[in-house]
Amino acid sequence: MLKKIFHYIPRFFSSKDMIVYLTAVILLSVLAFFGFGKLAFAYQNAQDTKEKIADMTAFVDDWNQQVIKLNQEPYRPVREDQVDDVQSNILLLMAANQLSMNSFKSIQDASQKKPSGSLYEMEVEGPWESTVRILGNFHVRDALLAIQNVKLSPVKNGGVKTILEYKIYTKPSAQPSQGK
Amino acid sequence: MIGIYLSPDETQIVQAKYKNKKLKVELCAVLEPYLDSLKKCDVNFLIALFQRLQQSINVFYEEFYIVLPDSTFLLLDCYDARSDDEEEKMTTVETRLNRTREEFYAAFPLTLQSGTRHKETMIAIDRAMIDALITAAKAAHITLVSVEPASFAYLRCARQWRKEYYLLEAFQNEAVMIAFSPIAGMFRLSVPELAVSGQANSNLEQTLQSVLSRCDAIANRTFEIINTETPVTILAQEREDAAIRLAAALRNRTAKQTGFPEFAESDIEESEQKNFIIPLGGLLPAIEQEESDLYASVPEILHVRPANVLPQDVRLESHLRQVKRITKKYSKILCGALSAILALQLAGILYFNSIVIPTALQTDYDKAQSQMETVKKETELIKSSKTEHQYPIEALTGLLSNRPQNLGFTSIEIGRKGATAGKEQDKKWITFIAKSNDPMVFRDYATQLGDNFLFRGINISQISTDTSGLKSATVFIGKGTVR
Repeated sequence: MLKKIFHYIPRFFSSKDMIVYLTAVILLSVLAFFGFGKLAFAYQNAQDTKEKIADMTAFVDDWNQQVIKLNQEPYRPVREDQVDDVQSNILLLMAANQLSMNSFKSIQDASQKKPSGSLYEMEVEGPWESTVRILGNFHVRDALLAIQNVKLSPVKNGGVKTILEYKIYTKPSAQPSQGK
Repeated sequence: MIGIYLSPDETQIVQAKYKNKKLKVELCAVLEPYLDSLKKCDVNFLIALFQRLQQSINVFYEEFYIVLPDSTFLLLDCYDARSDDEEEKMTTVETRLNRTREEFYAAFPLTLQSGTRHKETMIAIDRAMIDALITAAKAAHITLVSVEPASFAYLRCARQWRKEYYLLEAFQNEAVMIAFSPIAGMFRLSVPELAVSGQANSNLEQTLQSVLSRCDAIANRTFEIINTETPVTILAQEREDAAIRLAAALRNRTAKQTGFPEFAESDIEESEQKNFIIPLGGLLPAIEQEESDLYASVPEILHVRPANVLPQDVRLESHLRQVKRITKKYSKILCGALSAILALQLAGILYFNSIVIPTALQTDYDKAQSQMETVKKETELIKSSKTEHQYPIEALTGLLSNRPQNLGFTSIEIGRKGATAGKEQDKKWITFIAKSNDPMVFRDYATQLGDNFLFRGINISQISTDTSGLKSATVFIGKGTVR
């Protein structure tokens, strides 16, 4: 039987069109086989890319939300180079409210390992009303300030001596801008 | 598979499929006779027959089994053989026909070997006729696999190999009698006097008696042993009331013609089945492997081989052409399907490769990544500022809103220097020193301060008297709910 099969194999392929057809089938089969591999690979890549796009979109949305929220804050930390300007305005504020400055110094913020701003102590003297006004409106534009300690004591001329410890918060790095 | 019986009077077609141990007969049809075309080796007419079939039925996958009347064959006889040598057998045929082997095709379907008895049944047919058939089949793309005599097709279908009988093939203008013996073989006797056209003769009884006597005598001589009154099966004679069937000479010798085998399923009436028994028997070789009981009753001393006169090479060539045709057909379909698959794959690959991260998103993402840390830190700073800020004005407002008239503050400290924001800072949020002439004032004031949600944990740490006689109290106040 095998001999007969081998005898007829050359006759089976004797016609050119048989060779052409079978070659075409084999070639297309091989291409289809590799095509499936390539398709699977492309599909997997596409899935990974979609996942990455989703993650990136979520990250960007989250960042946008945070920036919007941050930009809505009325008071924000200032740049390092703006601290002196804020400080000058505080002094002007004191002067504008008839409070005379007795002393002013910069102090180390020992409470935190990484200082989040510049800490100052100022001693002023003046009328009670002015002192209360200052304490209630201790702002310089949109600079983030915090009064950490206030010591009030009466003085002989009817005024109040105020020792004020305050912090001017400074930004950790460059100003963020909102994405698209 | 398709069986075609080319009888002198008509052409019978049977198409069947073998599945699940059943032979489903799908078509039984009758066409006009084409035997004369075969005898004249008219290839075109034979092609016309095949093309006519192709118009009605799908023959692409079918194998064709041709059955010819025994009268068509040059020789159908049983002889005493001396050996099994094929060469000697062919020489015997050449001698009997007085022709060279290039002029005929032969087959030796039956061999009896019992002791010293060795009989061979030989059949031979004109080569030109078969070659014409082969040429027509090739031209019409038909897979021709078998050409055999009608008697053998009938024997195979009847599956009664242990009985002796005569088969009368009676046609309009010719008739032959085939004698079969299970202990010898077969031979053919020409009996033109029993042709249908001559049966209306008033001497039918005598003619019949004479033919039967002649058959018996020859059978005795050829087979050596034969039963008297061997039953006669009348083939190819449709009418049940034909005179020959009613003849007295056959009254006790007529054998009932067999119908389709049990494994054959057909929609045609059982009475009609006997009309197509021969073409059906012709295609049974296709299922010989599956239906082993076709030859189950063959006596051990009798060896049955195919009565197919078609040369082996021709059969294999035919099969090869069929395989080529099928291969080409399915190759085309496969190429089309694979091309479509490749096109889909390409489309899919292009589509999936088009899914990339948008440039704008990448830019925003890079920017967000670089600035997220800063944003978080700044947000944290703003949050922590709310904890670090001591709300002095709220504290002062709370203290002064319920200050008794006879109580004065000597110092107020809001926030604890050096203390970290949190519980420690909140416990002693405010420290004040107040003076009054009435020590109870301090207690009343402390009670009033305790009612304010701003303050929690009012603690008068000490009350002392100063040099002027005024009472001085040092009070610590914890932070309650501020804003």
